[in-house]
Amino acid sequence: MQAWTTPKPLATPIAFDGVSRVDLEFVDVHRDAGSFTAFVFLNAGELPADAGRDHDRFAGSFTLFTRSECWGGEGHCDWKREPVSRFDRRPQHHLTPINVSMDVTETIRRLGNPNRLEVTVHATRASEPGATKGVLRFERLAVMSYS
Amino acid sequence: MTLQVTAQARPAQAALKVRQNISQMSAAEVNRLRKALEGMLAREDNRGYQFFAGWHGVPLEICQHHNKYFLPWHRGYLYHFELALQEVDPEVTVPWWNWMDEPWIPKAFDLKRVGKRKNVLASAPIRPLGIPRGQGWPRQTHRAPGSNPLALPPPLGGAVFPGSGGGASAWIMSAPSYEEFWKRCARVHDNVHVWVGGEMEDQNWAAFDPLFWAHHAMVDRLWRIWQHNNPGALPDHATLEQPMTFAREPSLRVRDVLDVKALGYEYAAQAAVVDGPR
Repeated sequence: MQAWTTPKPLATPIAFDGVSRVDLEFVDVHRDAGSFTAFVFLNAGELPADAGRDHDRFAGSFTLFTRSECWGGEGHCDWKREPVSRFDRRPQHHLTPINVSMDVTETIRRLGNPNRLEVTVHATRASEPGATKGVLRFERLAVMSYS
Repeated sequence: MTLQVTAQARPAQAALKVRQNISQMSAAEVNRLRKALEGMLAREDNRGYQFFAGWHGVPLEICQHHNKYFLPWHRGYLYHFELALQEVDPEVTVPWWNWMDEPWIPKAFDLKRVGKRKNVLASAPIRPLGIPRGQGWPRQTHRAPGSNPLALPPPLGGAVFPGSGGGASAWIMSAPSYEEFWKRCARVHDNVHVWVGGEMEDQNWAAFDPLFWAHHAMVDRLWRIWQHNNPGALPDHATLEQPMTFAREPSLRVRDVLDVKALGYEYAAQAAVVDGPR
């Protein structure tokens, strides 16, 4: 299981008690390292590795069905490829990272509308539950609130 | 009221076929499905099982996931697969696995043997068409349901889907737009793949498992029911006109797969048919 926690708490200009919805947005989640499930906890502090859905700081989970190993030759799974010309109308590479959005409004309310969020993610690769690195990779995590 | 009359391109084959819940099929119906599948597996050309399984992962990788083409592409995929199945037996359809209400591997797919024969619904060989076998590739599909400790067993829990109350089914069906619907469907779909485990949790190999087709028929059925409940809730115009990539004619735009009846099948829970005056 890979554990990750925000290096510093996230905060928004408007207090959470003044908004109607709060989403966590995982930006550019990679899909090239095997299917996995991620548990998301808010303001949980130190968490045991086996913290589950019944933990009072559990905010939700998501599972991504992806491919495991690259079976092709060099460059086969290079999702960063650019169009080869302006006539290249082919769709994006199928491993292009995606955004994953999670509605955490209920958890925010349950936690008393805290002003700052520390997010902890536990991610487990389906085919290799013991893996501690490279299971979940993404570029940014954003908290988005809507009034 | 506008009466729309459409010509039947192939009248002799125009009768709609009903995709059935695998758990409610008779033993004779399941055996007929098995025989049709065995027939497809015996074909080692572009009418056979390996050819179609290879569209999803190794070697063609033309599947669509985590985007707005996820539902229409897989509907087109099952359409092509079912036609190939019906080339072996015209009366057979792809069954659906109702993992919402039956959160276990259906018995028809789980039995290792049926009589003295191997159950083709339990496991299938992996022999991708047209490319040499790579090192470490699996040779046969297997499953390990529940082996991923974090993936929820179907029918999943309400806690994971905020605001759902009634769990995954209510959460999916209450989606107010196509955009929201495909996203919710995709999340639950992904979870079921990973819960089943084995080759089913790997896009490279998932479609080689016979259970793949029943899983996707269930996803397709949910879309059909949601369409019934939300008439007029369509993908955006640009998406509707988008052609999708398949390894077989006909090429299908998103618009072409919106109506399952136009593709020759339905998911009616019950159907009774009588001949009319001819």
